[in-house]
Amino acid sequence: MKTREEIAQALAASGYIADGELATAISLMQLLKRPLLLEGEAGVGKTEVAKALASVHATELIRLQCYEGLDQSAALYEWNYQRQLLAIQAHRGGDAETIEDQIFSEKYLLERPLLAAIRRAKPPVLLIDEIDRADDEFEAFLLELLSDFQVSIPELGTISATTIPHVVLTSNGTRELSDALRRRCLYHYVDYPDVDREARIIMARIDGSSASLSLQIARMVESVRKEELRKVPGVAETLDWAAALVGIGVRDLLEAPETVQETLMCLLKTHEDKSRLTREVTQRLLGKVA
Amino acid sequence: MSCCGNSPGYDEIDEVSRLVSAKLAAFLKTLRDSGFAVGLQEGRDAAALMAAGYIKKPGLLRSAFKHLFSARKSDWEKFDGLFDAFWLGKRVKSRSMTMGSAKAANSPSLKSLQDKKSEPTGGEAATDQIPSTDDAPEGRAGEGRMEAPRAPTILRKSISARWRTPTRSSKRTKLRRDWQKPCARD
Repeated sequence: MKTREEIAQALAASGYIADGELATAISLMQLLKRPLLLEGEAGVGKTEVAKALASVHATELIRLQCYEGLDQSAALYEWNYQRQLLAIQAHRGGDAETIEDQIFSEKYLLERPLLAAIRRAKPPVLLIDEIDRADDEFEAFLLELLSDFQVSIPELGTISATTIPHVVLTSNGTRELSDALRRRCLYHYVDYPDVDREARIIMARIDGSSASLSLQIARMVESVRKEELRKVPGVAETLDWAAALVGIGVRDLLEAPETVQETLMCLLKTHEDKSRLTREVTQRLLGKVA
Repeated sequence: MSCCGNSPGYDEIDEVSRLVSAKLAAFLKTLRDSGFAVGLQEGRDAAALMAAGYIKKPGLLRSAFKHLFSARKSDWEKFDGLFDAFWLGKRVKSRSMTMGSAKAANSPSLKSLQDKKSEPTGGEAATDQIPSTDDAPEGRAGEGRMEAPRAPTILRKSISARWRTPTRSSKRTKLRRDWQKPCARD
């Protein structure tokens, strides 16, 4: 898998319709052995890239969901304290140094996502999701892993990667990431898809959605996105709405304006947004779909 | 590590790479002047990409460099304009924006652009460059427009002289034609 066309085709086969630039970014990940930082609004399909990539490589997806307060013990490794205590009990009376060496060995180490990702025989896809939610300290800790693909465990020393994982980081931009982290990554900004690509995404993901209906849905969603909304619908919302419409049996949006209005709840996630899209507004937007 | 077929012969690589390296170094400087955080590693990776055959496809090279050199959305949005201006000689027009990175706003090349225009509207005003699609009269070319920072004269002469040399003309002609083709955007 070398060219971006092949990558785009492989992603499409796994249900992810990528644009040429994303396919290029993925080919560069392989060529330069660099992590890929995906930035963009919530719901544009950043996490899906990692899932599709795992499917393309037929490899494991290891996911680290970031949150405020995430630390090394949850992300990298932890000692199995219960087993260590049992071992100490079992060897009571023995040489303290020998026991210490034993209980701080691999046998008592619990792998967390980051350690697991660099110790797999087959390179997995490591998804570090919503890195902007993690603290600055955790971001700094990641630098060693992302540049040298090694981690330091005080009791065991430095552990280098058995294989280099395909690392994908995502960020919604809620916090500015450090330059140091950004410089270690390839960058790709994931924008909302254009109408054509969104229609193809709908067709690929929703069984029973015809080309004409998919195009109508994509056009309608694009029009909705141009309205002043608090929460602009992402691709995930589009797919929910498409699934609802297909499930109800809609074949043409223009023939079912009432159903369109009633199912807009799939796209609009706040009361304020729902009240903005009145019947009149929906009618106006439907006019653009034709 | 080739993406685009066989590499040229050794003699060809040596001469071409010397010229291209100088041009690449000038491009890296342009990016730094425009607020991009470009380090040695990025330069090495860029050279590796060019050596891997990306140089033969400007559209692909632009996309690859965009991923490599951009670090944030503001970089992402202005990269295509900078690339086209530098490598393809396309004119770009400037557009004042109220958003943008402070780095970009403070970059010398963008500041010089702003100075030519009227007073900025806000303290955080930055300049974004987008490829120009309209053809302005020659006399107005300087208004709100920017030419790419040109490669040093000696480099341009070297390249011109090289293009004119009759030997090895077929490969060079093809390479030149590739670079003059309009760049397909994804």
